[in-house]
Amino acid sequence: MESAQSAAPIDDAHRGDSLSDDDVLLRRVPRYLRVAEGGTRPSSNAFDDSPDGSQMSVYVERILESISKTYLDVIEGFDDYGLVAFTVGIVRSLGWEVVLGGADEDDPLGPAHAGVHSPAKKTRPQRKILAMTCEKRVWP
Amino acid sequence: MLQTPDRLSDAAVVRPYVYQPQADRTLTSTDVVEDLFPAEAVVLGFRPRVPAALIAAQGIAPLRRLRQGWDSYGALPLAAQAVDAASFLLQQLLSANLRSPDLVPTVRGGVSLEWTSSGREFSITFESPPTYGVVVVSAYYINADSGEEWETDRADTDPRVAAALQGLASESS
Repeated sequence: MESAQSAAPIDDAHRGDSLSDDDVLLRRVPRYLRVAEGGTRPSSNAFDDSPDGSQMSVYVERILESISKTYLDVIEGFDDYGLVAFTVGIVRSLGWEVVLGGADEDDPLGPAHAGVHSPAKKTRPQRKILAMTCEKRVWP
Repeated sequence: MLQTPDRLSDAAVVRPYVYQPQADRTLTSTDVVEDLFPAEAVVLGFRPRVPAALIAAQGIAPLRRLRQGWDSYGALPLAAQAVDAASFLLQQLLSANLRSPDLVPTVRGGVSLEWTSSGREFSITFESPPTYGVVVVSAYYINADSGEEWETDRADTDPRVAAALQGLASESS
């Protein structure tokens, strides 16, 4: 029921076919979603879809670089947020799909924005895999 | 006078306290402990037993203040029903001397109690979907060593949840 957008057809122009399995996706992690021994890794709750039905938001690192942005720009203005990275390959191994686009109109990083679409609700075991395999790029 | 841990009552350390060490002396760690608990000093290294309700309330309080979008991706503020239910269970578990879990909000306005140890994780999640008006309790368990992993949306009746809690109790004792 949380995957309202996943039922909609995906625009071919935005389908993430141009992304390779090695492409890196970035996602912010607020302080409240850092767990285990004082916050050494993100909770699996950090990898869920938005409650409005939109799919899990990420930024594609390679596209960020192409518009002269870095991962630090992703957390600019977000105090005490961490930033984690995981590959498109991991996402696809979970049966999910990366779809470019979906950014807010005023998002300066918009061209690099993507949604991680899943055919059904993202399960805890799936989200746990991301939590355990992601790399911490910024971890205050 | 130092007391042994088993003689301390739950009420021993429950009082407002502002730590004001005397500036004209060099403090040792024993001084600090005796300053903090002047009436009933504790043995160094012993963790005083604070009533479970107080611990639960202190842990949950910051979560109640989360606003819409607290995760930067549109997460909902926490539903009072879900937080109250989580708080109640947390009190019960802490009273049974289980170690404190991480308290983790969910994007849908719920809260998870998460226990993590090497290779294992157990969590109980409380969410209150607006359309249902009830609290849904789910649970998740993984043991990387044994390969056991499960998730249930019927945590209140699933016997695996009770077994996982018993396992936590064994670890904590």
